[in-house]
Amino acid sequence: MNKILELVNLIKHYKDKNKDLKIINELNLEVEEGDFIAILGKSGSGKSTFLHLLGMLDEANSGNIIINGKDVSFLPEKERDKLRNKFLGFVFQFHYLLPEFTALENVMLPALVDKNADIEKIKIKAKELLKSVELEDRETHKPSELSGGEKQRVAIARALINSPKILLADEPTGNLDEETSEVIHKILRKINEEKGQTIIVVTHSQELASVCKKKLYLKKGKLEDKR
Amino acid sequence: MIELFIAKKHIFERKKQSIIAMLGILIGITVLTVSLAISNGLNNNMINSVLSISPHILVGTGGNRIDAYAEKINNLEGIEGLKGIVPKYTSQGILKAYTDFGVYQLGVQIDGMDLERAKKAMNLESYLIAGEIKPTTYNEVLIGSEMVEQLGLKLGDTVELTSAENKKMRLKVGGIFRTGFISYDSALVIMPLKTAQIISEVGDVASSLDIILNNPYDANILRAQVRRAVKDLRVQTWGDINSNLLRALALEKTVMIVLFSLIIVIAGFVIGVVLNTMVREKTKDIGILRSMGYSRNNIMRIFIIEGLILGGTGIILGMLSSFSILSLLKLGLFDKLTEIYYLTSIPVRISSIEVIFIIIATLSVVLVSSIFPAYRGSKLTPVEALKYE
Repeated sequence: MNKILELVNLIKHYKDKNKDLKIINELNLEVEEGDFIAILGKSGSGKSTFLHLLGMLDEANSGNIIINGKDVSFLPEKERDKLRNKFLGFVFQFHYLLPEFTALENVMLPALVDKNADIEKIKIKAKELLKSVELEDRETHKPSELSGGEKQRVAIARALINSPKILLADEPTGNLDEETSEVIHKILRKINEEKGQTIIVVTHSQELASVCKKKLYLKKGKLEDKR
Repeated sequence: MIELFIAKKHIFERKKQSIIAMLGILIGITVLTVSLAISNGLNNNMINSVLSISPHILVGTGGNRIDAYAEKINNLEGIEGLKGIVPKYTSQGILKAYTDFGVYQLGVQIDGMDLERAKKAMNLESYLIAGEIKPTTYNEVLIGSEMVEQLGLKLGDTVELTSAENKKMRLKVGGIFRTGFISYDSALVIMPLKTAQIISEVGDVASSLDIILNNPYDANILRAQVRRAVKDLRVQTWGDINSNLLRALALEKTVMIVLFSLIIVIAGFVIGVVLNTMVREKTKDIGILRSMGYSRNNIMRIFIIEGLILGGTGIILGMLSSFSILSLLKLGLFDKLTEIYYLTSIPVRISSIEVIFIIIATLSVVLVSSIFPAYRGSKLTPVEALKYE
């Protein structure tokens, strides 16, 4: 298996009044292609911060993030934007679909960053992805016309439109009921098993974690195998 | 272009605010363009009226008389660009009219001119609304339409003119003119040069030589040549003679442009406020777009394009409404309103340079108003934007 992601001595701390809060403290991680990892931890343990660092949405104070063999820690912002677009897909706790766009348009949005993109091809792919999450009949619906589970399925389809190397999910079922969460679990497992999609999920849900191939616990800014 | 696509979605989503922003620009553009076109028309009308039977270049002595005026005319005649030279004797007098309702008298300006030359150079006949010009009929005068109204005169009536030298002469109204300039139409009496010379007891002299040019706006260029031809005489262009009026017109136009431009500035500010609100409301969306890989420049472009769409649409609609209003004015639909201003119709003159200037200035205002909110949106980090509540 190829090593697709490596975190080396990653540190992120915040200054709170006079205190220096180390949220991520010399964290190390290696992720291989096809991995399906659950990052578990208590509320406030830094799970979201960890995912933001991984997704280059936030900057670490020190340490290295190596994606697909390339150290992205000190890349200029424009390069990071491009890498985020091509290599990473995000699914958030709240669907975060853009309200004025239809489901199909929402799925297409990440692919349209590329000015030379073939819109027809993107549309075909977006339709396929919506079909894969069983929403082919909801293409023209706006988020306000979709249920919570449907919105999250659209968000998963959107995250996959650029065929990212890694799919990052931040509490993807945190806002859903048990039954709907089960559907999302199945979809994530299916795309990991059938397409070999690397997935890192941050969650406190044991049900979701049980679907993953590997569980890691974020404690005191470090990742551990044991609870 | 994805930024345009997103910008359009934002605009259609917030129809009410977008319409208000566009309306502001529409109103600003319409008020400024229509006012400017009418102001240009009025100024042009005023200048044309002033120039109707006035010299474009005046050759005079500053009070004295020009004795050998025929010789001076000969010297001037070779200059290119001159349409004609009219020797004139100007004086003051009192006109007495005997009407069915009694005797009326009025202080008038007497302009004795070589009517044969004036017909050609000044197109004098084009201002006549009754009668005809007879250059060699020395006992006939031309009077203005307003004077006719005031004194209750009609064509063919006899009037008595008393000159400054207290010489009286009975003259027939041979023609009635209307120049559109009320000072001429209410107080000017035109007669053959010889008649003016006789009533003023001055002999064969002129008080000025009125030079009419093919293009009045060449006056400044031709002034030097005229001065060389007449040597010791004073040479003034129509700009010099009417400098106060021209300055007043320019000042009035400048003040009007400044005041009405404020509407556009305020409208631009409204667009800025609408975009600012949009950025605040869309902060989370900005974070989502950034998480997808949209750059700061993409975000900045989205909001600038939004501003330009709102402003651009306002400009297009404003121009359409301006031209519609101006077309209605040209068709004479509001001509009733002009009667009190001694105009037959509302004059309209559109300058393409001014229209282009209005468009560019408005777009600049809109662009400046859009940059700040766009920059504010683009400088948010993805995490800041995503955490925004």
